[in-house]
Amino acid sequence: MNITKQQMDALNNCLKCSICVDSCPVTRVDPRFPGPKQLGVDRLRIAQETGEQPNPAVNYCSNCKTCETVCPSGVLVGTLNQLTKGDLPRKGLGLREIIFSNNSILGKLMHIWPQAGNLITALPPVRKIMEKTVGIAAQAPMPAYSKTTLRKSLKGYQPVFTQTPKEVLYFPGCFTQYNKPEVGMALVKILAKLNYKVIIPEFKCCGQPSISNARLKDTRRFAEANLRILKQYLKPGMALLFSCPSCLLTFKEEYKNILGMEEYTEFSSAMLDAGEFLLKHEKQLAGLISASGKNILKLAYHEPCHLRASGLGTPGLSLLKQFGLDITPLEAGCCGLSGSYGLKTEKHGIAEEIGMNLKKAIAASNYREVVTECGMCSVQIKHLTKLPTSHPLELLAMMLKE
Amino acid sequence: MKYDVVVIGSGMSGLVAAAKAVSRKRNTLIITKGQGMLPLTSGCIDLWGYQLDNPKVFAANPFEEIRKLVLRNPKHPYAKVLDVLPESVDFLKKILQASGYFLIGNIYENRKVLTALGTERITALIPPSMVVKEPEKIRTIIAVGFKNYLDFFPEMFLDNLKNTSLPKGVKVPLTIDLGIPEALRSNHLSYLLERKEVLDRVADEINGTLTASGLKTGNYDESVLVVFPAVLGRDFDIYNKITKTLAVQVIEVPGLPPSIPGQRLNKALISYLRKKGAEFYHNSEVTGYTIENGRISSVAVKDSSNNTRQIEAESFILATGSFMGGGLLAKKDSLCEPVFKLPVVEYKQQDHEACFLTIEGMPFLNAGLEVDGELRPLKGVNNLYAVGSILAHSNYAAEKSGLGVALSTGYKAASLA
Repeated sequence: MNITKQQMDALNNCLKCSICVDSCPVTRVDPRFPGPKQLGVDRLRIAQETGEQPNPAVNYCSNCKTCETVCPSGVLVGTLNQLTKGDLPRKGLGLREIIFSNNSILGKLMHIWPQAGNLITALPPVRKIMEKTVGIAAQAPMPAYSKTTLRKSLKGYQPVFTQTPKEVLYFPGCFTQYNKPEVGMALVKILAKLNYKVIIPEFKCCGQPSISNARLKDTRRFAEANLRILKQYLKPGMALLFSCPSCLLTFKEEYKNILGMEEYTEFSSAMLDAGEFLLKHEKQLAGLISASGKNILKLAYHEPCHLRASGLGTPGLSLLKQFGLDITPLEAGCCGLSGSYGLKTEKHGIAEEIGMNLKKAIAASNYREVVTECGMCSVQIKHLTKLPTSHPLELLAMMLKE
Repeated sequence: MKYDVVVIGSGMSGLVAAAKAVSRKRNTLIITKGQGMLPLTSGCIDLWGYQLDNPKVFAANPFEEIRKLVLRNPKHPYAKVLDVLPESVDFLKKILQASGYFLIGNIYENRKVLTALGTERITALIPPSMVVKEPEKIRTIIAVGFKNYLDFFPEMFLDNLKNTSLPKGVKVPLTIDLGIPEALRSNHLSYLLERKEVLDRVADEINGTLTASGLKTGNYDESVLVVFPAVLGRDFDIYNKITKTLAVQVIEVPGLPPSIPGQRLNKALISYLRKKGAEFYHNSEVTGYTIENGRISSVAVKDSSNNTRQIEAESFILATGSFMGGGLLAKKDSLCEPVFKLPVVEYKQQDHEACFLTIEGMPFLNAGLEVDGELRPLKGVNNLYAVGSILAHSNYAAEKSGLGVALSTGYKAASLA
């Protein structure tokens, strides 16, 4: 494993206060994962001297990054765990990990005929076969593919600009591209009203799934391709927007911390959460929002772990509150699914148990809908509560005046 | 976006400051690098532990000692908040109650709490689950441990009880095997006990022990005390259920972190703040500030990838803690406060004290910021306040004053901010 001097120093900042163990959602529900401190920080310190092999239990880390968020000493506990995972000897072909790490290929395949794909992958016998052959839990909530992709939806959309528009880049991410293009469309529509033209180059997957599936070679391939695209498209002063917190976190942090790609630091001030960008245009946006949108009642807000870890607050929540929506943050912790983690046979039960907090918090009040930025969080919330979910951008777009 | 109050730090002082601010309908933001230390505490709140005139003896009345203290040491943080100390404790109890958390006790009386070691410690406010209601009536004590749980040993606990004020009675150690082959941690144990089937099984085993000892009467029996490590769930539901099922006195005793009672307290405060609309920036760090006409107008806030953004507010409350929380940094030959670069009062000490855990305390813990009567650390700047363990002239470890200073200073600053 390539652990940098900086990371090693940060490792030595660990006070052993145990606050990461205290907050780890996996350790709480499953004793097979002894916790982020033991497997990440403590073991690495020992391994530096003894060369001790990683403990395979580190595979139970879901990379939710709660440990990093709560650490008072800036130790990148979760990052170190992902690096350790990458060092584990691989057993067999790892077909499941290949599929999850390359989910854009899966997206393209499913979009040959998405309705049929959704139907087939929902059939119990098919799910049983998937469980037996590749280890994808039969009971796990599979994200449904939308009728159309973001790319196809945009083809039929021509925004009207009254003056020469400014330009922004947008990284929709696989979930928006293949599963929920409505989020991307919402952003494009809102930005058009603010006189921004949205450019969406042919980005690769951000690579977050490949990080948690311990296929760091895939991550590097994606990161390098995305870097070439960024260099080509991102002009000085231009912003690169994200609607998915995990994609944003991967671009801003993981490429640098996990792959050591310092090249991304020069772009990091351009990379923004879409809500954060809109918050900068708050006054202008306020003039475009109609009061009738305020009829949407009793919303719960779930803060995705990766948004929390990004350290930029909850701009989507701030905007919705600002525009008068009745929205309450749940403060119930991780949803448990953590991307593809909870889809795996051996981890599905863990994901369900972690998600119980969220389920209880939602059941405690009579919420009508749950708002969250993260696609896979919304899959889990729908699965646990049967309530509709939406992205803050979708609600904002609904509130736009005609 | 502009806030009324920005609180930097989310330990006890920051959370109480934010709570007071939102209760005054101030639009409040909490910026925090890492979670505060509150979830690592025992869930009890210390105000003052020992007698000023006899530092080896517990103080019976903390408020009385604090009143004496401020006359002798007018620089102590308590001297700045004596006027609001009673109401700040009442405020905390009230807002916690609104989130389903309770604290028993008051500022005029210290109470004894049993620890996982079987020793007694002194504190002022305790959760109901740690209160021995009728100690004089106890005849039998059953200490319940769990196989592979290494933070509570029933035999050791019971043996150490001989040095406490509890009546000498029959002592029964009981270790329950929940069938977990791995080392059990408090968090997981607490999660397991929240499951009905596990709690029922635990109750059955204890009832079995009671019956075998001829103690099962069917009616409430206050002569029996059942002691658990402090792992009875993330709210008081489990404590209430097991007390009802066993029909005897039940307590949980605090031990090492992860501390479930500390997590409960933290969760209750945060849930109050969320309900009242406070916002949070997690995993972000304040790295600088702008000052205009004698007022701090904004702070520079760094996200996880070192990008900074400016956040404006009317008032700023610095609640970044002491050395552990990162509020104070120790360099080779000096101390510094990294956010506002405020002057730090130092307390010199020899490198190797004869006894690390000396009752007089380690002098370095007295280091920190000096503030005026309104908790302002910077002369001429009226909208910056400092609260909690970052304040100088208080030694929380020796005084047993940590959370008391935190909550009262946090409360006062937010009353002014």
